[in-house]
Amino acid sequence: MTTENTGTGNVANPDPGPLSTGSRMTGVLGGLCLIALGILVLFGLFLSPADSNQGDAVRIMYVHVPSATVAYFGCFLTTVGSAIYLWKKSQWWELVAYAGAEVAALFTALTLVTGMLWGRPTWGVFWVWDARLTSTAMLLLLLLGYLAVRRIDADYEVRAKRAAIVGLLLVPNVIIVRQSVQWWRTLHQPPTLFSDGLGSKIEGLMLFSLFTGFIAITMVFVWLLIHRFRLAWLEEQRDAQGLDAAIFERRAEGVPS
Amino acid sequence: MTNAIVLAALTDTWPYVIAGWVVAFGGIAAFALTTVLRGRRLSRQVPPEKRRWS
Repeated sequence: MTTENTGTGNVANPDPGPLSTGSRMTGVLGGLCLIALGILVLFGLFLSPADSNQGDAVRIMYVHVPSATVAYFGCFLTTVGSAIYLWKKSQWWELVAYAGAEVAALFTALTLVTGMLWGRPTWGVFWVWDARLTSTAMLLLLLLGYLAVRRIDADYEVRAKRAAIVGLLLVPNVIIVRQSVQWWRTLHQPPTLFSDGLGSKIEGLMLFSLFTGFIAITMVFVWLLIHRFRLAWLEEQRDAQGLDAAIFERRAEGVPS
Repeated sequence: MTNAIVLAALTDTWPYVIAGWVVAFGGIAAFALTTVLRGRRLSRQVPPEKRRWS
């Protein structure tokens, strides 16, 4: 049983609180995200030049590479959150892990799709069973597995513990994805940035566009992560409230009138 | 002439570029919208003291 809170407040509790997962801080961050995405579109699609080898297909890289990077970061958060949950039974960290996995799954999927759309004009095919592509697809499957386990119909502790065990596998998988271009001969090119220390293989407006992509997509990632964390928090509060009400009703049934 | 235009469009990289950006921005927007709408619905089922965001 759930109670409907209309948020109108009353004499005892005049402040209804926020009726969404938003706050002033996320509102400001959301506005900054829109500005950053606008700048990314301007530079990524219009102001940066075409690449001498890839042509205009390089413009897909300005969303593809940052998406992959934040997906890795989401996996890292999930593994850290899972480890802390298993160690300290912290619900806060468990929800961070859950939110991180959801957002990481989104960006891993976007990485795969944008990569395929880049591969078609560049390699001539949408997909090859290359080490980088295959390991990234496996990472997405692992994330979906985590989310499936986390949503099984069981007690919170049971699903949180099982999901956390799956969550521990994410960072090792990210290391495999990251290193796949070094460990095996692949069609996918090695890293463009930091391949030789802090050096870069691109420069000028193309480098600026890529960094704008990193900043914009990272801000969007943080915004989504905060909202998704609050959503997971609300789900757990609602479920706990429903459980309390069910126990109360059951006890009331046993009391003779 | 028409065939040449169609061929140019197919071999051009721009359709892939546009598709890539539309998928990326569309995917993010859909995810964000779903999250915000679910948050609004769930907020009404949870007492105010349990949803104090700073």
